[in-house]
Amino acid sequence: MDKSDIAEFKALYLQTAKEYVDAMRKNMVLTTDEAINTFYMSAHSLKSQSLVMNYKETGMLCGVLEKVGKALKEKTLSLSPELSQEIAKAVEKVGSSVSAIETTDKDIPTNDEIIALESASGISLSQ
Amino acid sequence: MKLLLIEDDKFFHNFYARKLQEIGYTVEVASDGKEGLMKMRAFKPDLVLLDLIMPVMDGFEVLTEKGKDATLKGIPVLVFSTLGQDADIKKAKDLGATDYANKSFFDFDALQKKIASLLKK
Repeated sequence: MDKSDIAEFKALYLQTAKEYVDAMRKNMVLTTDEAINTFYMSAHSLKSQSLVMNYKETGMLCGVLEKVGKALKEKTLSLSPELSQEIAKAVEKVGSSVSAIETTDKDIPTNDEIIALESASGISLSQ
Repeated sequence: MKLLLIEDDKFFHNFYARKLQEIGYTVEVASDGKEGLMKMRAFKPDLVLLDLIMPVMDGFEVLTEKGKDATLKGIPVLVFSTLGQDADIKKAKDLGATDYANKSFFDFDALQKKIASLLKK
């Protein structure tokens, strides 16, 4: 996406990104099918739009959250206390990254959270 | 030429609708698969742009239902995939999708060419 597109769509990105972060925060207890599905869909959507806007750090972390959400939805993954903790940290990092985008036009590194989430879930972003 | 965009995400609704209208297409949007099928029947688009992961009815279900309807069978469908959904592209094509575009690595020129090519067929 070129710079004029990014400038034009940044406000829209931020509006929808904040809604998805809110939705992930509200549903990250992940104890019901509905909560899991909302979490998964929010992570999926925020991943897609972040990558299109070239906010790759945010997009990649949401990508792992999406895969975790999908695995929980398909019941191929159980929610351990460790995983629950890493999900919470990852969601907060996504929120911080969106805030950074708002003020600086750049997202923030998320590699530590990606590694921790992959380790706690056994799921890799690349698989 | 008429395009129907079936996509649940507000950002992509606005983004794709605006970009495609700017280059001269008439664009209708639907927020989920069920609404998408209704609009396919009412709007009779020349091409459908279809997201795979949506609430209410996902893209795969749309393709399945579209395949059962003789009045919709001839409409080409371009599905949107994102990072990590390669297996889903094959499934979508097996269900009748004509082509796919990667939503994650956005290249509007490439998308434009793909749409133009599908509309020529």
